[in-house]
This record gives sequence, C-alpha cells and structure tokens, in this order.
Amino acid sequence: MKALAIKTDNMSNRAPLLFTALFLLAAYLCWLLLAPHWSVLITEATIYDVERMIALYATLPRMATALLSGAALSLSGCLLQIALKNNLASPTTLGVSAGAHLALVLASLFAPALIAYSRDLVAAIGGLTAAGLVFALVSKRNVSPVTLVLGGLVVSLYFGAAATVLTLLNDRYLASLFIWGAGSLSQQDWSIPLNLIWKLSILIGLAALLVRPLAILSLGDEAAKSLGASPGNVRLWTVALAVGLAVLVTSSVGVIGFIGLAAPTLARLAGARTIMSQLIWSTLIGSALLFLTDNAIQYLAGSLSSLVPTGAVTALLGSPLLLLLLRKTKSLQKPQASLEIIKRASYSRTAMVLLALLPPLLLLGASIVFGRTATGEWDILTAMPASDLVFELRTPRVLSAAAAGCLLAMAGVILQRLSGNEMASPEVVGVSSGAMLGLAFAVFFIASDQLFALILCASVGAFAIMGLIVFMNRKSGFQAERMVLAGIAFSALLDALIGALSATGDLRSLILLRWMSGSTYGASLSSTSVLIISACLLLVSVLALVRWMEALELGAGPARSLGVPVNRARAILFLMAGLMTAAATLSVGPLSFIGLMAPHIARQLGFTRAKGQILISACAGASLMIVADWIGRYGYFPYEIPSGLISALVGTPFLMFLLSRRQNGN
Amino acid sequence: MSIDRRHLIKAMAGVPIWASFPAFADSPVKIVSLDYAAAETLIMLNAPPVGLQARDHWHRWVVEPALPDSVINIGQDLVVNMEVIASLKPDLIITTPYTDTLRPQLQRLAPVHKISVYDQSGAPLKNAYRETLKLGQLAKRADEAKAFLQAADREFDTIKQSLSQHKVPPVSLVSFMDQRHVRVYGKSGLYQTVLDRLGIENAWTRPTNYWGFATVGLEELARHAPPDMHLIIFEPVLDEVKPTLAKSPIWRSMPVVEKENVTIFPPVLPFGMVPSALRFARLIRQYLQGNMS
Repeated sequence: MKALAIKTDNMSNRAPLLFTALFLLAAYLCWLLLAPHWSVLITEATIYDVERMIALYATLPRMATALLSGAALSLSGCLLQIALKNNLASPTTLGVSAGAHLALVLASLFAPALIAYSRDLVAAIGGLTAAGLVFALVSKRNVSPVTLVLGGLVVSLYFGAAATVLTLLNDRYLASLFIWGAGSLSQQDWSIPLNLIWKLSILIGLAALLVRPLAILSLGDEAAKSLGASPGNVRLWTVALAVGLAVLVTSSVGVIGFIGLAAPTLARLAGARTIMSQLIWSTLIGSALLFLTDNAIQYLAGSLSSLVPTGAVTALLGSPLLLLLLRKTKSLQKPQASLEIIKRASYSRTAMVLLALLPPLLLLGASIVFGRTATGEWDILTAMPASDLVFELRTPRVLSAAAAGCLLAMAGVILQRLSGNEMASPEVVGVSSGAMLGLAFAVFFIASDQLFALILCASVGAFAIMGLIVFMNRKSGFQAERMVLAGIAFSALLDALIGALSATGDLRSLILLRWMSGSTYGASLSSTSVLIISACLLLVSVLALVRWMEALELGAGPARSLGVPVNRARAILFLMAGLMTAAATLSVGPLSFIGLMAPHIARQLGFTRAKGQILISACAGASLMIVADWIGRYGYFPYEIPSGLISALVGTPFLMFLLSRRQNGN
Repeated sequence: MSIDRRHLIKAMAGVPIWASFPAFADSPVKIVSLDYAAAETLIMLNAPPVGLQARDHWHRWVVEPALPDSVINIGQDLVVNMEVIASLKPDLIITTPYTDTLRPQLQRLAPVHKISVYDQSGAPLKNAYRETLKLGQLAKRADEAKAFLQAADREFDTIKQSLSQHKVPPVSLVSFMDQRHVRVYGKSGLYQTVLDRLGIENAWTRPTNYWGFATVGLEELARHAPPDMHLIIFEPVLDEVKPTLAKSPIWRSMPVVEKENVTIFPPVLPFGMVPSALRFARLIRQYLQGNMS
C-alpha cells in the first residue's frame, strides 16, 4: 500500500486524461441518443415536429442539467474534503442533501407558500441545519475523518427516516416528491439548467476566491496563522459555499447521491495534487461522470428513461465506493480498548429478575388493554364491541413486537461485546440491511410468502453481511467508526435499491417499502409463535454461552488459555446474532435501533456482566418495541405508522447522542 | 366525529351475535369495503358500507355519489385497521385482487368476497355489471341492482345517441403524476370501455398495464398524439404542475394545447365500477357537446 502511495505521488497528473476519457464516452452515448434527430435539429422547423421538440426541450436540457449538477456536487464534495481534510466528506456523507430533501418535503406539506416563495431557500435551510447538526455532534478538533462522516450519515439516516414517515402518511400527495426524492434529471424546458447556470457561476466564482486561502491552509493551521490567515474562518466559508452548491442541486433535481464523493476521489487517484488542480479536475470529472451515468441510463432504459431516478442509480454505484474508500482510510483514533467503566450494580438475584420482567409484562398487558374504538375514542378492551376478536388481533402483534425487541437486544449485546464497540448493533453495522436484502430477494425472485422461505432468505442475507464485516475487519480489529460506517453504507445501498425499485411502480416494491419501515401488521399466530419460540431458545442458548463471551472479551490469547475454542466460539456467537436479527427483521424491519439502545440501557442500569446485560437488555428491548408498536397502532388512528420507523425516530437521536459523547465527553 | 356516528356504534354494539349471520337476520347487511368502487356501487344500491378504506380521501378521488356520514374510516387499503373492522362486526368484507392478500386475516373477522373488475379479460365495464349483480345479491339488494344496471344502460344509450349526431374527435385521458409524468388511460381500463360504449375513439392506443394505464413522460404523450385529439386531464392535479406546464415549450407547442383542446375534469375514479363509468360518460358528453355545437 505504501509503495503504491509513493508511486502515485511521483506520477504526473492524469486527471485530464481521465476526464477526457469519461467525457468522450459520455459524448458517444450522447451522439447515439441524438443522432436519429440530428437532421431535424439543425434545420429550421417549419412544421410541428415532436422529435425536434423533445430533443430541444427534454434531451438537451437534461444533458445540460446533468453536466451542471455533476459539476456542482463534485466541487462541493472537493471543497468539503479539502476544508475538512477528510477524504470521505461529500454532500451525501455529511447529510446536506438529506437535510435539503427533508426540508422540502416538510415545507410542501405544511408551508407550501414557502416553496412558492423560494425552493432554494427552503432547501438551503434544510442543508445548513443538517450540516450544523453534524458539526455540533462531532465538534472536537482534529476529529477523525471517519467519525465526522459517521455523524453525517447518521443525520442522513434520521432525516431519511423522517421523510419516509411523511411519505407513507401522505403517500398519494407525495407521489411526485417520491420520484423527485430519488433525484430525477428529466426536464421539460431550459428553465432548470438556465437557473442553475447563473447561480452556480456565482458560487464557482466565490470558490475561485477561496483557492489561495485553502492552499495556505493546506500547509497546516499553524503555518496558516503565521501567514495571517484565520483557519477557522476559511473553513467556515468553504463549508458554507459547499453546502450552497449541494443545496442548489438538491432543490432543482433532488438527491443525487455519491457523485460528490466519487469525483474528488477519482481526481485525486488520477494524480491531481494541488488545491487548484483538485478543484478543477474534480469539478470536470464529476460533470462528465454524471453526464455519462445519465446518458447510459437514458440509452439503456429507452422510453422509460424519464422514470428511472438517476439519483438512485448513482447511489447504487456510489455506496460500494464508500466501502472501498473506508478500507484505505486510516482512523485517527485508536480503537477504544474497553467500554467505559460503570459502577456495577449489586442487586439481589430476585430483585434483578423482578426488575427485568416487570416493565415488559406491565407494558404487554397495558398495550393489549388500552386502545381506540372504531370512531377513534380511547377505550379499554373489555368495553369494546367484539372484544374477543379484537383481543385475538392485538395479542399476536404485541407479542411479536416484544419478541422482536428481545431478539434485537440480544443480538446487540453479542455484537457490542464481541467487537468491543459500543455503537455496534444489528441495525447499525448493516446486518439488518442484509436480512432485508434477503427478504427483497425472496419477494422478487422466489415470489414466496412462506414463513420458512422468508426466514431462510433473511438469515442468508444477515449471515452474508456478518461475514463481510468480519472479513473487512480481520486485520484492523473492530474499529468502532469504521464498522458503523460500513454498516451505514450498506443501509444506503439498500435504500437506493428499494428507491429504484419503487420508481418502477412495481407493486412488490410497495410491500418492500412497508416492510422496510417495519410493522407488526402482518403478525399471525404462526409467525408470532415462531418468533417467541426462537426468542426463548436463543435466549437460553446465549445464556449458556456467557462464559465464552466473557472469555472472548479478554482477547484471543487469554480466551484460549481458558480452554475456549476461540474461532468456533466466535463463529457460533456471530451466527446466533445473525439468526436473531433475521427473525426480528421479518417483523419490525431493518431500522428499529432497538439492538443499539437496549444494551446501553442495561449497562446504564449497572448490568455490565454478560449474563445480566443480556437479560436486562432483552427485557428493555421488548418494552421499547411494545411501546413503539402501540404508538404505531394508535398514533395516527385508524391509519398505521410502522413501529420500526417510530423506534428509528427515537433510536437515531440516541445514536447521535452516543456519538457526541464519544467525541466530546470522557 | 359526529354524535350520530357515536350513537350508531353504540347501537351496533347492542346487536345480538346471531344477527351477524345474514341468513337469520332481517336487518340490512353490514358491509365493510376495502375498495372505493364497491362502495360507490353499494351506495347506489342504497346499501352503503359501514366501513370504508381511506374515507377521508373520498372527496378527492370519487366525489360522486356522496358518502354518508355514517361510514367509518378503516385506514389505508393495504394496511386496513383490523381492530376497527372487527369492532364494526360486519356481515361481509369486500376486497379486490389488489387487497386480497389480506384475506387470511380478514376471513377471521367476517366472510370475504372478492370482486374482480380488473382482471386479464380487460373488459372492466362488463365485469362491473356482473359484480354489481353479485353485490346486489350479497347486500340483499338484487332488485335494486338490476334496476340500477337497466337505468345505466339506458343512460349510456341516450348519451351515445346524443353524441352520434356530431363528429366526435379522438380523446386522450390522463392524470398528472408530477410536472413531467402522466398516467395515460387506455386498453383494458374503465375509461376505455366507456369510450367504446359511447363510440368515442381513444387517441392512446399503445400498451397499458394490468390496470389499464401507462405511466409516461409528457414527451411520450406528445409523440403519439393525433393532431385533432382532445386532451382530458383529471383532477386532482398537484399545485406545482400547472405553473410548470405553462412554461414548458414541449407542452405549449403540442398541437392539442395550441388549439386549446385541453380540459380539466373533476375527479372520476379511474378504477371504479358502473357509477364512475356513468359519471365519466356524463362529463364527457357535457364537454364534447359544449365543444361541438
């Protein structure tokens, strides 16, 4: 690796070559698209000609928009990367695009007048809020690149979840926003590209003014200060400019993911070194890259091209890139050796069991008893008409929520303890996304709704991601941020995939979307029994393996000397966590964050030993999920809000809190 | 939230168990519908459903016939609220092929009947007639159903006759999805069969999906538009669509727009049954006659 790095240093700048190659390829596709109409384009129109109008007012402006958006996003990404000295920074990975998107969704629902006044302004407020939130989360100086991006992706995740809730609650009216949310470059006239071009040229002009200060900054903060530059101010203005660029694009064409990450990376890899050349070549390469992608989409999708969201495609291609980059980025922080020490609780055994079982049992009862009548009034079960039937309907949902919460919590404990990473959990490291991908596969390719087939596919998906995580971390150890970031990249991939599928209007994607957001709606007696039985069996078997778990935490050497078959023990425990996740994802979707929150609640209560933590987390997870499910059932009565989304809305801020505490506290 | 509805629910709670079996009961059949089309038909047969999916959006998609206040909202069609349905103690639940995936759960609450207006046959109006008769039997309104269909036939004939005196242009029927995309209705859709019934030509002859529409970009619509066509746009049209269209050269230069042969219809359920078909027929007669004379 080192040798390679030195070699590239000595190489001349090949970015122009890369740009030319990309651009020529794109231009060739452009020629293929336009050639049939060339003759009508160059002659003056005498009669109405549809093809001419389409070429002039749909195809050409679309191409111009692709070029401009690609340039703006890449310049934005490059500015962010230089200002933050972070090769992973980009509008996507810092949550700027997601913030702008959510602001537009919110405004179109609750304050349409604002949108009519200025779409750009609304988007800018959203983008700036997101960026501000990210920087507030990880405000420590010299923050590791991975951590900053982690903050950004968590914010993205949160805003994405919120936007999904709104979309689900208002689906018919947001149908257009949904297409738009995935970023569609399709055009009707020149207004968007013409609008973009003057706004962008102002911002690009401003960026040119920043080249010199940024070059000084690249000498190091101390050197910059001695030259009379204020590093803080330069950074602030650069980030503001970058946000401005990204927000303009989001407000005009939607979220186009990962171009702003890919282009600066490519420019650097191709050998662009100085600030000036990085900025110029990133912009040009990004422009050509989006142009190429979009032309390829138009060419391949034919008459459907206007419906395939380009943003979903770029995200699909871009999120694996993030994973690759991650492997090469060094984390500035050392992996934390151990979790913080919390005073161990000294409750008696009976008190502990009572404490653990009381809340979930009480909540279980309460959420079965309290509900709403057909007209929406609150009432208790026994007073309702057809109460026996309602009881039969409610119970499996409550029970499967409890079982799923319990399973996720246990999986979270296993992952956190084995990786020594307090931010690990099936949702965060991507195991849940794996299970969901497995389910998507089952729905689309096997077309089966047999419970067994679904569980099998979900498990295979979960195991695959689990294996990948172990593989990727085999050398570096389980570095907290790296692991979490990889997981979030998987989630982004999944989102993009489902977004692209939904845009095709396939009914099955609607099923997937609901599944993604996680609801116990489909819980039946048989699926609930399967869940409860697996929760009990897995709980018992994990408790039986507690000794292994605690020995493994000491490290491979000591564990071996304690007589633990290290590799086998690890494999078995990971396998169990995968099974737990797969079973739970079936009923509450991939985004609940219960597996993250529950183990922490147990630790905060003082249960730091494996056995206690597992028991208490399982109970906490069950309680949380029961509450989320109850809110989901009655919060927007008689409509349903998926419980997975509700717990995600609680869970992501919790993840943000953990993140900020890691950075700013202890 | 009216007092009446509350009373109704209380009254329902008092109905003895045996009354939920249609065979023994003389009271009206309590039907829950997961589909607007079945609901509009039941209202016409004077047997309105007790529960309906997304009742609060009715005015946006169906409008006519008016929905009685007594109808309870049972949530969204693919995730209807089972508890609400259960507490309504229905005698019958109506699904469609679209919502029939919920059958296993629904069957525990009441007998389920699936109406298929939209199927492979591609003749929704014919199917709608058949299903109306069936609904009439199930709701104990068999005579009303027959009378309603006879009246519908007479009205279709009258409309066809009144139109046959003019030279009627081909029409294209669309709903806007966003500023750039439309659903255009064609083969095997309800509107198509109404056009056929009235002897009007549909300008969109290209393939459509199972439900009888195709989602296409505006440019695609422009590409396949005969010059003398009239374009009919159905409400609801999103607020942001109209200003964008006003600026779009592709839109403005379409001959149909230049000749101002464009009109906006109030909402008509595109996946409806006979009442929607009649509503559409009346609207299109009104429009064409206004234009031809």
